[in-house]
Amino acid sequence: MSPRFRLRPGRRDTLGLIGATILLLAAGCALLAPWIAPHDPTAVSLLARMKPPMWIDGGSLAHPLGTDNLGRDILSRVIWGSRISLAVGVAAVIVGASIGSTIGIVAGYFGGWIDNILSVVINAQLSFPFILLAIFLLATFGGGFWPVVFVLALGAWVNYARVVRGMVMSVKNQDYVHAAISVGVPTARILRTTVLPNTLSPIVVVASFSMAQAILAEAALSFLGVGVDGSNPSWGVMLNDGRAYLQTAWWLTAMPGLAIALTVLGGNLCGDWLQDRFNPRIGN
Amino acid sequence: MSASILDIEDLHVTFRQGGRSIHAVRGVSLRLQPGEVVGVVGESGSGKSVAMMSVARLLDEKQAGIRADRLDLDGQPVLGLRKRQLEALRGPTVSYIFQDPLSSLNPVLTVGRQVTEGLRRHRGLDRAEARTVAIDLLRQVGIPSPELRVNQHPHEASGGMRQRMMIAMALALRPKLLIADEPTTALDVTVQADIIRLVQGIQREVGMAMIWVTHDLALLARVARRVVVMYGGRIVEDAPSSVLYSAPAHPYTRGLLDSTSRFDVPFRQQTPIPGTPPDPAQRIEACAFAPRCPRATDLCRSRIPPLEDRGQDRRAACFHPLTGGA
Repeated sequence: MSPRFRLRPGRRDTLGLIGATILLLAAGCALLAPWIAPHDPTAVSLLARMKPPMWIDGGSLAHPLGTDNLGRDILSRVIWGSRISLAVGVAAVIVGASIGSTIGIVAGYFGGWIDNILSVVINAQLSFPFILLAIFLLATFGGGFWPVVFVLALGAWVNYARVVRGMVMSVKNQDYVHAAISVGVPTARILRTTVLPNTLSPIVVVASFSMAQAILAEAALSFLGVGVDGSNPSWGVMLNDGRAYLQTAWWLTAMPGLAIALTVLGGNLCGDWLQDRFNPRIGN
Repeated sequence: MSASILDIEDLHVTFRQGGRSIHAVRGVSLRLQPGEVVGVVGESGSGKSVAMMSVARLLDEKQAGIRADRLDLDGQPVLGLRKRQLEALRGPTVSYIFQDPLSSLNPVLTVGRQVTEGLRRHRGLDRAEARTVAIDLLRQVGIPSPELRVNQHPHEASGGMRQRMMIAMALALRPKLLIADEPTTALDVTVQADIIRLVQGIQREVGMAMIWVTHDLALLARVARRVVVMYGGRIVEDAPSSVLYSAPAHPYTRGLLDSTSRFDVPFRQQTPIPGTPPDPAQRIEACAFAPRCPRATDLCRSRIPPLEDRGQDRRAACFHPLTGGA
């Protein structure tokens, strides 16, 4: 980051910093889960079933956020769950952004029939209910970390492609692109050094938002039972497990739900913030 | 006579836009010797910029149809070249300075990167070498403390500075032909003179051929030995500036000179040319200036006047020239 990237006190930066803090906290939980989680997230204790959070009668410091129907510590499960949610989110963003931006740049820069074909594909994809497609694919080919990542990327690439395509279409007619062409810079290099950096800000912004979406979608898929499989708890799986006890033990669903909501909020605040800050033309 | 650096014969450029055809250039012929400095003047829409952009095939050819009997750049037929060959020409053979320095520099790249973009392509310099060259170039175009500037981004520089950076970028490869498309239009008057002097100085030093594209006749009087006047996509007059300014042959040139702002003539006495320029969507089979011309006759309205020699090194496309008449 250049030394000019300085913070200005104000609403924007405050909200952005809150968002970034939330994401950093989530990332910290994910990285440090084995050390900060008070219990083994899968340790069953039938003696300590359905303990409420510590601030409610019957709760205790041993289980700050209570326990679930099998007596597993919810705080530990939420902390461990962040690993899956964030890993899925980050991986889906990387895969989706790479594919989507490449397609968007090609479509936007070359135009013509390439653009027509890609635009049809983009529109077809957009018109298809994503969650249905995801369930279909995951139910057919089986769940797991990478299948979920690829399905989420499949849902997200259009966002990048669309935004980048539009951006490239306006960038390619900029005088500085002509100026680069006029000194003999080859097309591939122009795309890389001139067009791509100018589309980077929308890519980062979309990435931030779509990371939030990916986390949400992963939770939804896990909730529906076609998500990331495995012994580790995921926030979506926890929601699903707690569903039956909504009336009697709300914290089973509220805690992972809160984790999802906060992380998504963090991603969205960050996206908003970056949208303002990552633009050298609006920046100082 | 040595080989021309630029040789254009009957150049036509037509844009297709939603079923309509825009005839931007309707038959331009122009020849430039190495080291020659020519001014191309005309109002907006006269086709001057488009004609000059076609020289390096910078137009988007999905929309622009370029047609010419000959379009040779340094002896190479530009229209027949492949993309790779064109890229090899752009930079060392022909280079451009564009009108708006604010938008002609990429906001996300450092100045040093941009100035040497062409050099790295053509000479294969690595980053460190390119940086040294960039500092040199910036110094040559009169940018103070170039060591600092190379690492800055365009928005940190003023308009005049940015135009200097553009010039550095265009000159990095010592082009044989430099085309400056209204290089000072977007700048403060006080800066304009500096930039013109700078470009002139470098032109003399390097000895490159140069085309100044502008609508500013007063500017051309200072910089160009020869002036080409364009109207409605055609050249209407092409003459040494001494001849053109003192005794224009084409009524349009006369009109341009009369409508130019001058300090010694009160504003009210300056005569604008009546009427409006021709619609580029129309085909014209007559003198394009005839509807606005006080000397127009039926002949002017029925045939296209050819660009003919009028003596004194002058060519003019007029059936009833003001001077040097046939």
